[in-house]
Amino acid sequence: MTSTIRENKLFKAGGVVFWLIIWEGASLLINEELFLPSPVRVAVRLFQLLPEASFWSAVFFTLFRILLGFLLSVLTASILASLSYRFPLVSILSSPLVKTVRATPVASIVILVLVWVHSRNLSVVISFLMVFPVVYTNILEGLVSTDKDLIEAASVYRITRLKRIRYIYLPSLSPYIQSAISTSLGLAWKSGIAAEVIGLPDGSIGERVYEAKIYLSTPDLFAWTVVIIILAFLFERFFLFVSSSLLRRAES
Amino acid sequence: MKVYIKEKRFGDKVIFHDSQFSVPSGSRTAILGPSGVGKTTLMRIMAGLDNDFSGSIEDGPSFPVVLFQEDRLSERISVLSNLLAVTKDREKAEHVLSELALSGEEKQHIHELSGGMRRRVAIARMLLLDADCIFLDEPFRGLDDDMRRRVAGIISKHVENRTLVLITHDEDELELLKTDRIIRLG
Repeated sequence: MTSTIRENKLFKAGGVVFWLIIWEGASLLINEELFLPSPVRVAVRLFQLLPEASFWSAVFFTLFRILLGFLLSVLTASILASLSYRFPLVSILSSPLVKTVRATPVASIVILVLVWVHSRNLSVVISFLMVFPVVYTNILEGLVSTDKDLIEAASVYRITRLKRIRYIYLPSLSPYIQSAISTSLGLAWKSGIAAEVIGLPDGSIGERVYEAKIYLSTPDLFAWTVVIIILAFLFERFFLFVSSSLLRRAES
Repeated sequence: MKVYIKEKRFGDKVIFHDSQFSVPSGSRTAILGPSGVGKTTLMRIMAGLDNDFSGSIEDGPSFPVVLFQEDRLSERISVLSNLLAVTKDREKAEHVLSELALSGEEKQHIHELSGGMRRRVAIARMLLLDADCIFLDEPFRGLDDDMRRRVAGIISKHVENRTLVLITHDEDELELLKTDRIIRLG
């Protein structure tokens, strides 16, 4: 019964409406747009932004860079995790690097990276670096937890390397890949935008968020935040759908 | 195959000491004994899966195949995919499945099957391999009497002139697979 309620779309929408009401109530109580604009005001501002060409160019600017960083990171982290699984030396050498990147604050990395690359490409590097440890750790964990008995059986039955990947490793990795995508994509957006707010590349979402802060335009800040949340949500869904379809296809 | 185990131990516990026997090519040998005496350990040594012992295996099989005590199937993929992992011949895979009364189950995922069905999928996968020596570790685990007879008949037909080594604690299974030699442990 409890799980049915949790999965019911109507109840889920009810949860969202509940918090919108709380938000509206709080904004009425404070009655100062600078501190907390109402959801209606934010929605109005968002609809005002939508027809602007600069809105879409900022969205595509940031979207392209964050997704590029994310995809490059998924690719290289998967390769390095596979090498770490196969060769212990690679694992020993990679471990301190991955742990350091994971523990270093985004702001420190952003400032350091700004010394090396142009601010236009900052979000590519930052989302790459933030996603890397998550994907690497998940893939390596998935490989290590693959059933050893099954691997031994594959060796006895002389199953080819390619088929082992398809029929043994991919099914075993599947939940780890899904978890890595879900966690790291959100991280890519958060860190990518934070990097843009610090580095201020021309024509980015980060720059628009920063301008909203400078001009004390809180409805703009909220509207852009809503845009970021929607983009992060849509792309998480998209990548989860694509990855699960590919995994299903590979396994069947 | 000539097997000589000078010593096999797990920690301080000696499992085999100065054990020696042979398995003629094409024979049907049963390794019989109660649980915990080292039947599976002996099978693993014979199949070349355990080299951590002192002794020797002479004239071992070139392509030994083991039906493990555990089914060792890939849980998250279908019955047919588990079979296609070891063969390209889809028709042959479907034929073996129908012989083992698994027609119509091809698309089922392993985790959706009962214990007996999973056992038959594991047997089907083993039957698809062209091995010269077949090791069966408790092959009928989880199967009812009728299915045991049916599966034993299919395995017997498949094995024909190849070497078969049956590992079991159940003397009735010796008759089912018509073994001609017995190595008793314990």
